[in-house]
Amino acid sequence: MGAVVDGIPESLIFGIQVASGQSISTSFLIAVFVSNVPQALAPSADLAGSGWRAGKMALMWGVVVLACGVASGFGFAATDVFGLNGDRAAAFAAGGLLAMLTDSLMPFALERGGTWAGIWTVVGFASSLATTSGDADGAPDRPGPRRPCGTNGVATPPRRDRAW
Amino acid sequence: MLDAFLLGAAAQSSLVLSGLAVYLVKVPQKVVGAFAGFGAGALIAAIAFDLIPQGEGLEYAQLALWLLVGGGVFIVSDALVESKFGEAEGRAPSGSWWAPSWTGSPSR
Repeated sequence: MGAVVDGIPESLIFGIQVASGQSISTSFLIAVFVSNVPQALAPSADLAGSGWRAGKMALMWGVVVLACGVASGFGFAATDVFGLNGDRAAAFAAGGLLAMLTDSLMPFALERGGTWAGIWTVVGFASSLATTSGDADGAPDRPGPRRPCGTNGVATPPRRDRAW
Repeated sequence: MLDAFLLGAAAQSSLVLSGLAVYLVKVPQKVVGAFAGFGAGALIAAIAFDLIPQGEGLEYAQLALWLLVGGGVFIVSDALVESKFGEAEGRAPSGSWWAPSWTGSPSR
């Protein structure tokens, strides 16, 4: 049942981001929302197969969601203690998610989806890109002049200016 | 604090939805894998184009350091979770608020 508590690290990251005054981007929210689906489907199917009723299932996942909310609040509280500012919190979150991808999500995708999981990864990347670009129509933008990363010209970058 | 709680809960609410979906449809393994692949791709894009640009106020070395810290914290917390729930299915200590007895193995 490790999948049940997989969401907690991500929730910590959410809490940290909220606390640091960082707005959480829609594409990040959607990415977490979607990547949770398979992680809940697999154990739920097992439980349903062993006779769990829907009410019990809803209660169980409801408790998990609440626990994730609490973890998020904990991340919020921890931000003060560790002096995470927005930039550090974002880098922290990125590192945590990257590690999670290799250790957990991608092996799972390959195991269940076979070779086609790779194509779906590309589709997911492209879709998220479309959201990130902030287009109302959701059409993927030409990869225009994105703000370059790693250049330290901007001290506190405005959140996703949509100038381009 | 409340905002953090609500956002964390909202992002994870898909767990409840997909937990109930198994009663309505039989989801093939391939589809589960497709969702996982899609989610992985979406997360990579979110990391590369949202999170990293957010952190661009940092020196490169600092950025790398905090990436490592994030990865390290994930690895450690994941290992903790695994040691609590991974092998110890069905004999999770009941009574602890975060390991209630129903998280045990479904096959008993």
